[in-house]
Amino acid sequence: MKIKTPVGIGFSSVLVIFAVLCLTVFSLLCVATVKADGRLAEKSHQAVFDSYAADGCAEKILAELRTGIVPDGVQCENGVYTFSCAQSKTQILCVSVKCTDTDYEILQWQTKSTAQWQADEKLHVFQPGDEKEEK
Amino acid sequence: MKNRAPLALIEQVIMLLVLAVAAAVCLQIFLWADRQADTNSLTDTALQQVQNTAQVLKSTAEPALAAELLGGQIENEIWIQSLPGYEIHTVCLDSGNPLLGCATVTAVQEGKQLVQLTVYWQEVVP
Repeated sequence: MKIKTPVGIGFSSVLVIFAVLCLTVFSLLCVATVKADGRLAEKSHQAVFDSYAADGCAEKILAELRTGIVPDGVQCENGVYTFSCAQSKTQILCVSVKCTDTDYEILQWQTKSTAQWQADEKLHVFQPGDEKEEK
Repeated sequence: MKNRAPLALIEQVIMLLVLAVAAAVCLQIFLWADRQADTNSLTDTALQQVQNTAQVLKSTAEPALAAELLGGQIENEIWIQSLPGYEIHTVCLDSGNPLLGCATVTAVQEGKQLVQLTVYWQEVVP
């Protein structure tokens, strides 16, 4: 006389293994997403901190110029002082200021990229003169 | 005649234990991820507000006027702005140059510093 079990042996094991695998995969994806977001946020925060640090450096130099002191690294030409402050590995803050005895005028206060850039010319971009060449 | 019922019962119990342990661990991970996401979001928001305050200070060159524009109260020479979840503390510093104004703007949550910026501006000669 064979006693049958209501559910086959092994079926629940398969279900539980599947559920555990799903839970594990989703939790790992969750952790990876949060960590990636955290790294991105950290980089953007660092960019802001670097920007304000360079801005502060430029303001200090400008204040010294207003007092009549010309710090090292500042170039002067016809009353226009030009200097730059490093902002990050690939950016600098370029400043040009015209200082008089009583006032100053900011001619340039610009962040510029110092990274090397190479144009990608794999694709032919349509130029206005190409129509005449085709004819 | 073989009774397979005890084997099935043991299997059910073991599988239930395994599922409970796995669910508890994964639930802890989900909760940690949620807390981290909230912290990242709060830090981003706090940094934006700190930047706003810094830019207003630079444009007005007068902390008292900036406090009037953005609100908040001044306690013991610290300008405090209360925002949901955190506060912004602004403290004016001595830059050593009478023509250069300086202040630190800090976002604080329950005594813990979230972000801090040091901002400089040109003082207006009277």
